[in-house]
Amino acid sequence: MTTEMTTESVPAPRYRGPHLVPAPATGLLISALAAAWLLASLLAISLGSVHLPLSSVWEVVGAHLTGRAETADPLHDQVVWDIRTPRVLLAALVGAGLSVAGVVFQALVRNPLADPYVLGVSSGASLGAVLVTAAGTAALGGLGGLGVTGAAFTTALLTVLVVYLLAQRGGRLLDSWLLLVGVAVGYLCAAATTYAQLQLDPSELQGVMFWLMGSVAGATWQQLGVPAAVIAVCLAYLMVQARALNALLAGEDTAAGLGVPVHAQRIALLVIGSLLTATMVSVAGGIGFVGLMVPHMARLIVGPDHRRLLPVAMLSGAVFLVLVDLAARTAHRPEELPVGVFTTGLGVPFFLWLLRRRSARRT
Amino acid sequence: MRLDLTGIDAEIDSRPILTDVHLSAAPGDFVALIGPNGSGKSTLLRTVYRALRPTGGVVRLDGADLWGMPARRAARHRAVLTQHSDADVDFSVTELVTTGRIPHKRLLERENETDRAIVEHCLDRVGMRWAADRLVSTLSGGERQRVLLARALAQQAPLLVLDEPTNHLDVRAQLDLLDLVRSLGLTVLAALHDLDHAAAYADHVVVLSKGRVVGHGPPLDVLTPAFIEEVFGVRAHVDVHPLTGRPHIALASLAPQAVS
Repeated sequence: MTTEMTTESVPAPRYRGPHLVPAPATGLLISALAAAWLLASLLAISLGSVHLPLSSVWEVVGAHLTGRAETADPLHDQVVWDIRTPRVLLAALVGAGLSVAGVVFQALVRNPLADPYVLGVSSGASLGAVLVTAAGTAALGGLGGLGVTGAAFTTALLTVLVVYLLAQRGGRLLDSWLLLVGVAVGYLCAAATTYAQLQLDPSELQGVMFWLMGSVAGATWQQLGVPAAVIAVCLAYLMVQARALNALLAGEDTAAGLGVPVHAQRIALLVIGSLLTATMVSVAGGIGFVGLMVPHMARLIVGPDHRRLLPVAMLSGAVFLVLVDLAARTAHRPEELPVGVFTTGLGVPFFLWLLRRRSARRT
Repeated sequence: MRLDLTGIDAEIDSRPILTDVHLSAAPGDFVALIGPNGSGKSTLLRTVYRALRPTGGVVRLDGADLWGMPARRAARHRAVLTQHSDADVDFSVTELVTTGRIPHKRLLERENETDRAIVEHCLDRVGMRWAADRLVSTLSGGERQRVLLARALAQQAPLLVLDEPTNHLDVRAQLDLLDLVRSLGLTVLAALHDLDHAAAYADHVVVLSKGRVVGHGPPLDVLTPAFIEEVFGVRAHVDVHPLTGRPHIALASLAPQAVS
């Protein structure tokens, strides 16, 4: 009798889960990533093509953080506070935004190999940027009036709208069509971009390369507000809807069975993902593979539950792009390499590894 | 829970798929939906789990209009197990079954001890608690389908809708799954591919052909050799299964064949 009682009162073992970082430790992981982002940012602000002693870097940062900006050396102040700091912050925002967008598109098309650019968003943005550069901001009416950034944003969203219209039937999005139509429309935009490039003055090509390869060089403080706000709003919405995103991973029919309004939710995801991507592309050009790699690394660590995946992917994306951008501008000092070259160089082998790993697991 | 479909019409891309379908399931009944490919079985089920709104007719659960209630409430009344899918294999078994609690949770509400207990209980019922910590991708097809059934059970809905749940499973997993579903005591509406399964497990069968109901009733009353030949285009021999004592249907093609 007593033995029975004891066996019954033994608490059931707590399930640890198969993911690298178990659910209860997610808070700890998020704090660690936030600390890593802070450290990576400080490192990236300290290093650069111009050699500055560490002490003067800290002096400038300290002076600004304590509101005594005027005490800093003006030359050092310009390099550290006007050039490096906004650049490092923009890299973090773009990395975070593209990673969250990657999570969104992977849930939307239910294919973990999808990327924020599958729907032709970046090709659309490049086209807008090149058109405005080629025609001059005075031409093209409203489009030109938006400036290069505004034009890139507008054409990026227009591209998604075209893709959506072609990939829906009676308002229902078809998974496979969305991918294929996105790729096709993306190619068309790329062809139009190439054509428009031929009309450019060689001196203007440099600016166009920025959109095609992606870069956070030349970032200013004024550029940071919009992407930060867009990420904040989108992440808030996604965290509220995280459970519905989990249901969508199971497929439309199962999600409908779980009481999720599938079509409305998928269109909301399309809008959110496109808004994020278009915003990031309009400030930094098409930086490839961040939105593919980072969500995957995050998924390997915490699993696919969006309540954990979204914050982890966002912070990892920020750390990742700050570090990659640091490598891009210091590897070949004093010359600078486009950050997109680095992300693609890392991304393609990663993608191929992923593909092989997944196909091995399916069999 | 009682299910009544009255006069259901449904279209896909303006093409009529179902015409005036009537179907009822009494509480605790296992109703098998059978018919040749393209007869509209899946489409009919989709009108019940709210993936496709019927263009005519009403789906009622205990008298309440299913399409008139909020999606979340509908999901607390009926759960779905669709054909084997491999989309969400990166979840752990516990995480996957926990998604069955979605219709019971408000936005941002966290799972509590009750939810965890329900998830564990459902895994117990399908005999998969041992795998709670495993990744879904590491399970066999039959095990995965049991886990997906546990998710449907975690919805705590009195009506269970199954769309060809035994597809892609080996024979043992097929029979185990049907035994399990039968033992749950829920109202079940299941599209089944295999006439023999329908005869052996269902209290009632409803036969669809070209989007219309062409027969309904207890399996042995409906599934006569002449009827099977007319609807499915095969010869049939209906018998009592020597091992189980349940109805058993043996099939052969219409082409004359001799055992040499």
